[in-house]
Amino acid sequence: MVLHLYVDWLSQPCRAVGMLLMENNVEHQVHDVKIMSGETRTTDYKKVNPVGKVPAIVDDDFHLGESHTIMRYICASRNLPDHYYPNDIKQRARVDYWLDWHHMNLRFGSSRLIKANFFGPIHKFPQQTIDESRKEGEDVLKSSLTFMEETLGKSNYIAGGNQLSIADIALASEVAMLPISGASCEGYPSVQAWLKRISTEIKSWPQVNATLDQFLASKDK
Amino acid sequence: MVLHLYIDWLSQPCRAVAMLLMDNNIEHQVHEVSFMKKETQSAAYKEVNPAGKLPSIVDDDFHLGESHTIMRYLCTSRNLPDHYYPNDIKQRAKVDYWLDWHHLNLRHGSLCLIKANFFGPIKQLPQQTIDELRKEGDNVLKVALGFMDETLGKNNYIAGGNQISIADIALICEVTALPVAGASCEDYPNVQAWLKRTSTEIKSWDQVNMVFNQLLASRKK
Repeated sequence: MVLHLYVDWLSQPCRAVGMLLMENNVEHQVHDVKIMSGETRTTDYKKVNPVGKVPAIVDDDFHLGESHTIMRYICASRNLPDHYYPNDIKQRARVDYWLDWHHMNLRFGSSRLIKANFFGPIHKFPQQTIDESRKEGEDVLKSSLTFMEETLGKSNYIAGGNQLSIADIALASEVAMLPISGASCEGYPSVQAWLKRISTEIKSWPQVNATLDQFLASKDK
Repeated sequence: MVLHLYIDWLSQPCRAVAMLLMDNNIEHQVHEVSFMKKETQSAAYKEVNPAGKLPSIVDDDFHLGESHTIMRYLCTSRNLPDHYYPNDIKQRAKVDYWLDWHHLNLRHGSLCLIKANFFGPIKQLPQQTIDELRKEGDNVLKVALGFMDETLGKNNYIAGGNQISIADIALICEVTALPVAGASCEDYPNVQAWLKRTSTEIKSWDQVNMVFNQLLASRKK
């Protein structure tokens, strides 16, 4: 049975899962679910994923959410090349570390800024909410990018090693999204070099990022 | 070589790692590091964990942070009983799901309220900051506990299965800390039943929670 993938291409975790599947020619059927149109809150979608989040997969009736969990599951169930999620206990722990770190650091900082600077005007949040989100987002993003910069100054890939892992894919999707909130990784040369490296090594990068790129281009007008 | 464990007993993720170690009689040396006294910011501690966070382990010179990563690493490197982090791909994915879900759901809700209601007065945070944190914490926690209650209505353990996993250990430590945040799981009967059940199954529960229980008792006076 084919794997069903539920994504919004504007979502960073969705793009990460999309890239892993496409890079490895894992057969799948894409179902476009638009967050901003409320499609994740429908009764139908709640049957796919009861928490109403994307990405989600349904693999032969097995329902799964959370992008890092999905990527680990695909690595194991499809026996993907070892470098994505190494079998070596310590190297795997390094990948796990960055996947876990991501949630409350890069991801959190980035999403606070997206909330303040992108959704704030659209949803007309109170100024107090916007200010607090922006302040927190800037602080957390700065310390996250600084930590990544230190690490990538010593390593081509975020978890060390000689090839990219699912941690690189997850983090690169987030860094590529920073412009949407008016942030960037300018001032972090090792992060910029890494982003360029990852986005060239991932063959499906242009295809998976097409919707985001169009969106960013339309914002600049 | 003995495993070195760096923790603050008042920290939920620290207690989770300690319980896993003690319940499985894994030899380790405890180093107490006080978060409130800013001992995590010292140059000495940054050599243990450059991110300056707790918990950390140093296992024969291998440094690791992030409690979920540490627990996964302990399960594989010490060959712990399968139920903690199952080898079955789908069952493992369910445990991974709840570990990943935790960061930006239960943990985030709980932390917002701890910042607002516990640290707010201590650090004299601006009222605007406290209000925003409290609002977000209340909303996120309500959704998180609601989802856990639904899940635990159908399952004795958060990831399904017949025995406790590291996901139960991580989440139970957070739920028991809710009173510090001025919150509780009173309105969630399945969560309460699970809390009671799992806390009796964790042999080291009382020992690991000793310092924390003293804090709770002193706050009630």
